[in-house]
Amino acid sequence: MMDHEEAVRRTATERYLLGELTEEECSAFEAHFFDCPECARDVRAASVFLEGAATAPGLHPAPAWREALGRLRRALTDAPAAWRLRPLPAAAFAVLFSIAGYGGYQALVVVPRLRLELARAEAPQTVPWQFLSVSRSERPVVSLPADSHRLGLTLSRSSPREYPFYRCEVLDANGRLLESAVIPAPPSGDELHLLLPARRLQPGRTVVVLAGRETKDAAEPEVELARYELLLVR
Amino acid sequence: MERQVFDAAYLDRLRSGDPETEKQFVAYFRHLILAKARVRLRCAISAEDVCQETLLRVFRAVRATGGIRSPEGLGAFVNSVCTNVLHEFLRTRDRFGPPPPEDPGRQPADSGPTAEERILSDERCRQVHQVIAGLSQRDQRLLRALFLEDHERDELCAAFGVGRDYLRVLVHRAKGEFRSRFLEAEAAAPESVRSGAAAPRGV
Repeated sequence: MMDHEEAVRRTATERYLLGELTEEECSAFEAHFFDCPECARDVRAASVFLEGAATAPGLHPAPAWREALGRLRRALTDAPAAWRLRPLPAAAFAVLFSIAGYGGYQALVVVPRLRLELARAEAPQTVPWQFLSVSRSERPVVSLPADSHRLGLTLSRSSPREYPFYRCEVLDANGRLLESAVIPAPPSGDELHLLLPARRLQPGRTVVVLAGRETKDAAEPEVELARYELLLVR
Repeated sequence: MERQVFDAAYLDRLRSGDPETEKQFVAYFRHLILAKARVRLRCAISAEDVCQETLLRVFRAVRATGGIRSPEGLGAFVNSVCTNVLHEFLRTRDRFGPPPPEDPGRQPADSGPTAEERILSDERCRQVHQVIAGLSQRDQRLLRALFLEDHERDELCAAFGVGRDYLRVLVHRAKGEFRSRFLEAEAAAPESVRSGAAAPRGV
């Protein structure tokens, strides 16, 4: 068991609360503070704070704010650069609107939260990736773990002609449009790599429709080049 | 709160179901059990369940024939019961998955606080809120991020733009200020407010 001097010298309470102790140290400190009045006070103060702070006015976001923050969080964490253009403005608008309403709350919660979400989004992470080809054979089964934020797809070259831009649409089994974006062509000869936000993908048959475009202009006609199918399993 | 001396007389009072002794016992150990359960489970609701179950088992053990005989070992005994409850809870969770999200509007019929407990709890909350309001904005933010939002340490470092060592210093400073203010406020409060806890249901 840890003695009091060691607990103080090692700032055990802080390390305990921060999750910095090993399993063995954790057990040793627990055995100590259940028996040491001084350390018990320290731990108890933190626990009382938790209980009281949970209902403290101003420390928690109102439901509308929480919802707006959730939308921004999802947009930041789920959307890769090429696909972020569409969902982000709506979420950002909602958040900015909420910031205006909640004023000083921004400094307390928003900034640290956004920094955290950005740090998460920018952190290295593994992404399930699938190569898709236009084939009449059985569609590939792609397993998407529940905690995956993105799905990577490489689309095989489907047309001898190259376009400066491509429209990619993702449809679910019922033909419902899940995502749509115009993206610039990859370097000549390369296959097209897509990073899709996983949150909107549904288990079952999923279709990616690729169309060639001369410009990004929405009014410009486009030529459907290929349909890629996959069976998504979550 | 001054530590109660856990001697034979105290254990006898606890065994005989003396209400004041039970209240003091719960007030002393409840927050230690909650802290341990929160650290281990990272879930406030589950921590409360573990706390209730632990206290219930401890009271039963104390009252059982041939139950705990060594008053000086009471703290260690509570800790070991809490460890067992936590292990059982984690095993159940692994086997059956996490419990469904709770309906905040639903309250079990027999688990709500009594009117007296609610008044004491409200008073205690006001006391804590005053202490929190007296902290600097930075300390409030840090403590909230650490305790209420369950962020990983590295996330906190990124959010506050500090290194791990500095984070520990900040936590130490903020917690120290909270603790001293809280103990001051608590010492000035009437005894009924200071205890602020009742024995678990079913005892």
